[in-house]
Amino acid sequence: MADEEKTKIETKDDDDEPDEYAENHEEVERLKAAQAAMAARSGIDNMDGQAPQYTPPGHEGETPLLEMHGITKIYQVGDEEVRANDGITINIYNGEFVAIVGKSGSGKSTLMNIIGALDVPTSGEYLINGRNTSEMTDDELCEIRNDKIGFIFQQYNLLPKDNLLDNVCLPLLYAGLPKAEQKERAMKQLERVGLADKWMQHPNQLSGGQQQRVSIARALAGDPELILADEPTGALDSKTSRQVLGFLQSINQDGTTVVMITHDNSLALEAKRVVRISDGKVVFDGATEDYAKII
Amino acid sequence: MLNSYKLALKSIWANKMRSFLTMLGIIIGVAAVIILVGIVNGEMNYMTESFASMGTNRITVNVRNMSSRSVSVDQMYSFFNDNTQYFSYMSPNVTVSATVKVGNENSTSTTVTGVSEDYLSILDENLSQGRFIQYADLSARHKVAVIGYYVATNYYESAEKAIGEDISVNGEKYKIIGVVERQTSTSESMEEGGDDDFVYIPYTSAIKLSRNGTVSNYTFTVRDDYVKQAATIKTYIEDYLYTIFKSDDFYNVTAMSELLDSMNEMIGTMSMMLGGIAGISLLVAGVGVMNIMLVSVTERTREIGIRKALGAKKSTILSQFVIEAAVTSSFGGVLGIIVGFIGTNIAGRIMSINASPTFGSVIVSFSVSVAIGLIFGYMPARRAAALNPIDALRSE
Repeated sequence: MADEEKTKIETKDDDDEPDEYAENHEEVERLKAAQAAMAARSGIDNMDGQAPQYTPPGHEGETPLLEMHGITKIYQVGDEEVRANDGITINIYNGEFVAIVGKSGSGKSTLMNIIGALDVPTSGEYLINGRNTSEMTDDELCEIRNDKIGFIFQQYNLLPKDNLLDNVCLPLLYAGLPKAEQKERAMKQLERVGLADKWMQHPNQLSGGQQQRVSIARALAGDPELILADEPTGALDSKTSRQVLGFLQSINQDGTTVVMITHDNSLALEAKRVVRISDGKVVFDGATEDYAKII
Repeated sequence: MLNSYKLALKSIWANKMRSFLTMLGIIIGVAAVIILVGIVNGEMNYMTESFASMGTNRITVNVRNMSSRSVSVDQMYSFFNDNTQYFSYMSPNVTVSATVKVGNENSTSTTVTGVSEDYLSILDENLSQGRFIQYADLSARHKVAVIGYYVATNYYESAEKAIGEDISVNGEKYKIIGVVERQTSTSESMEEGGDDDFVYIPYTSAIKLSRNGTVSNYTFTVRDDYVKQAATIKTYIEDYLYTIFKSDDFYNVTAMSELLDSMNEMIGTMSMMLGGIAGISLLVAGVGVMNIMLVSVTERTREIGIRKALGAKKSTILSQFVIEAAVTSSFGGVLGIIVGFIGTNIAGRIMSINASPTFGSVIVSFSVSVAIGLIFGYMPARRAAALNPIDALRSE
C-alpha cells in the first residue's frame, strides 16, 4: 500500500507537472457549452468554439486600452507548426481587473508576451491605446513597455546586484527621468509597499513576499496604464499571496488596469473579469461571477 | 550615457577579481610597450650622445697611397685652403706603432699619434697645462709632445710637473710641452689604454718615425653652418681625391653624421620591432577582453532580459556593454602606463642607461588599449543587445 503510493508520487514527479497545472477537460467542455448557450441566446454567431467577445458593463462604446483581433502565434518546432495562440480576440478596457486563466500549454504565456509587447503575433492585430504593435520597431516596443506597462513576474526578476531603490528606479532610468525625480518617485512606491526603510538592502536579503512587493513597486514606479502580472503569487505561500493580491486589487481601485496571468482558478476569482484560454483559444470571456458558477 | 558609465563601473566593481584579471593582460601589454620603447630610446640617446662627443661635424679621410699614385699632405692642405668656406679645421693623423718610455718604465698601452696644430680644436678639447703643437713645431719638426692626463699623472705625478720633462718615443726624446685636460669623467677611474692614455707629436715628426713617408688618414671638421650638409660636403672631398687617383678604390671618406643617421635608423627599426612584439601582447589582451565580455553577456542574459522588459533599448544595452569593455581596458591602460613608468625607471637603473618612457609610446599604447576594448567589446555587446527579451527572461 505504502509502496503503491510512493510510485504514484514518483510518476507525478516524472510528469514534471503537478496536477493543478494540467488541463481539466470536463471544465473546459462545460465552459464551452455555457458560452455557446449564451451566444445562442444573444443571437451571436459562436465562431468555431471561441467564446464571444465580452464587453464589461459600463464600457460599451469605449475605446479599449488593449484590443486584440484574431491574435495567432505560430512556433516552428522542428518540422511541426505549433499554434500557441489561435485567433484570440479580446478587448480590455481602462480600469478593468482581468484574470487570464489557462493551464499548462494553453498558450497563456505566449499571450502574456504579446500583451506585454515583448513579442509580436504572427498574424492578427494587437493595439495598445489604439496603436498597432505589429507595425512598431523594436525601440518603439521598448518605449511602450517602459511607458505603458508595469511588469510583475513570478520570479520577481529583480537585479540582484542593485539595491531596492535602484531596482525600483530602473524603468524611470530608461524613461530618462532626472536622477532626483527617479529617487523621489521610487521611494514613494517603496513606501506604498511598506519597504521604504529597507531601500538600501539587496533583493537576496528579503523574503519572497517582500521581493514581490519590490517588483510591484517597480511596476508602479513608471505610473503605467497597465499592470501585467505573470503568476504573481506562483512562488509565494498562501498568506503572502493574499497580501500580493490585495496590492493588485488596491492598484486596480486606484484606476490602473490590471491583467493577471494565472493557472489558478481560485486566484482568478479575485479578479473582476475572467478570460479562460485553452488550446490557444478563448473558451470563456466574462464576469467573474458567471465563471464561478460554471466551474 | 552617464548612466552607462555608472552601470559599467558598478559591474566592474561587482566582479573585481575578474575585471582585474582582464585588465592584467592590458596592463602587461601597455607596460611592455612603454618599457621596451623606453629602453631602446634610452639606449639610442646614450649612443647618440657618445657619437656626438666624437664629433658629428667630423669627416675622416682614409687613403691608400700607391707608389704610382698618391696624395701628399701638401695636396690635402691646398684642397683644405681652397675650401675653407666649408671646413674649419684639418689635420693629418699619423698613427705610430711606437714604444713609449718614461725613465725606465715602458708603456705599451699609450698610443702615439702625429697631428697638426688644429687637432686640439678638432677634438674640441682644452689644455690643462702648457701649450699645444704649433705651426713652427711642424715645419721645424720639433721633438715636442702633448700628452694625455693619464700619462701625466701616472708617470709625472701631476700635469704641472710633466711640463718640460722628457718622454721617449722609440728611443727618441720628446719634450713635453702640454697636457690635455682629462677626457673621461671624474667619476670614472682613468685606465691604462683609456681615453687619457695618449701622446700627440707633430705629424711631420711622426712621418719620420713611421718610416713610411706618407700620410693615409686625415680628419676634417665641417663648419657649423654646413653640418647638416655633411653628406654633400663629403662628396667634394671624394671628387677631389678622384681627380688624383682616377679610381674610387683607393680612398674612403666617412662623415660621422652619416654614421649617426644610419645608426639612428637602425635603432629606430629595432624600436619599432620591439614595440610591435609588445603590441602583439596587447592584441592578446584584447582577445582576453572579448572572452570575458562574452562570458559576462552569457552570465547576465537574465539581467539583460529584465532591462529590456523594463524598456532598455537595443542601443542602451549595446552602449552599456561597449562602455564596460572600454572602461575596463582604459583602466587597464592607465594602470599599464603607471607600471610602464615604474618599470622603465627600474630597467634603466639596472642597465645603467637613462631610460625614460616616450610620449609617443604612452599615447599609442593607451589608445590601442582603448581601441581594443571598443573593438573586442563590440561583438559581445551586440550579442547582448540582440537578445530577445523573452528568451533572456526565461534563462536561468
